[in-house]
Amino acid sequence: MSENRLLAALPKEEYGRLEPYLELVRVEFKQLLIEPGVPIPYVWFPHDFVTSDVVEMADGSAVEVGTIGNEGMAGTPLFLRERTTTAKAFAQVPGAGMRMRSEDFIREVIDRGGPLHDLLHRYTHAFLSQISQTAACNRLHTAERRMCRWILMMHDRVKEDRFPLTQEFMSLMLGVTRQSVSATASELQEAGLITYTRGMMTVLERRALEASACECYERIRQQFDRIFEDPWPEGGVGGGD
Amino acid sequence: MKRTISEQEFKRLCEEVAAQASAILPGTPEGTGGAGPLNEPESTCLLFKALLARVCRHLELDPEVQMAELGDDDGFAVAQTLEEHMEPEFFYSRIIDNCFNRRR
Repeated sequence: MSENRLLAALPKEEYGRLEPYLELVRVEFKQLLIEPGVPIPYVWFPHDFVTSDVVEMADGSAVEVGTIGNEGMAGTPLFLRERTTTAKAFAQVPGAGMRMRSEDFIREVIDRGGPLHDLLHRYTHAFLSQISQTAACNRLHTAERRMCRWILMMHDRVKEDRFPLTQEFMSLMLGVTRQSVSATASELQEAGLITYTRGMMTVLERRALEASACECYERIRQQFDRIFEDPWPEGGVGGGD
Repeated sequence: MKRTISEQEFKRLCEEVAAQASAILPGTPEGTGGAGPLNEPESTCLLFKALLARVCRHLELDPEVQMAELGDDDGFAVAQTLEEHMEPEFFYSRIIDNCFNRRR
């Protein structure tokens, strides 16, 4: 079975039906998965890579609006029957995952329906909740609390205590300068929560990070966990459509 | 004295790699509909490897030592090398995107 939680939640027969269309791939740092205005070639199911949905402005400034890891799928616009989108998705943490060509996804998942289709409805809702929670968080919470929230989200997805994280990306994600990123990371480091050296983030005290993060981390996490605790709450696998 | 790299210098190195992309890359990846080079892991890897070599040459660093110290991902090695040597600071991702995402 897959290490992606959506695919791992599928009944064995359904996974077996879709397996011929899934390709195991390595995703490199900065690899573009979805480009704005360009037909989406694949949907992606991360195992341990993490992708960011980033919105870019005409002046070149950009901000992250969504994070996708092993709990989800990159390519929700296609699930919503849109071939193109306005946000760019690219890998922030390299790693392995599975991808399915758009034509196969449309034919085997969207048109045919079934368990993955039903699960993706719930995932899409959780993902939209993440985006709205992030928007509120960016407006209302301090850079330090947001950084804690974001480190925890990455930690959940990469399943390792140590992962690469550039200052440039953290500055885009937090909407602050690189100097502020450095100062905030130093504060967390001095408090013994993390180490951050040469672009490598190491989580030392996860519980303390949770205590320092804003409420948004827990809200987002619970939304995704609810899917996997009870994937088909109305009973009847794949009976939603 | 520590060598540095400016935005203009980095842009020039990216443009060099982009100009040689057809020689660096084996061909348009099958199944991507002629997608840009950063859409496939193999081409992303090859382009960043070429870029890392040029950045390291500019900074008088050994790319193999950089890779060994920074992990096994060429793109991350490029990003981290820049973060440690750029002067003054600039947003390198935008330059990489502009150079490498011109559709072939």
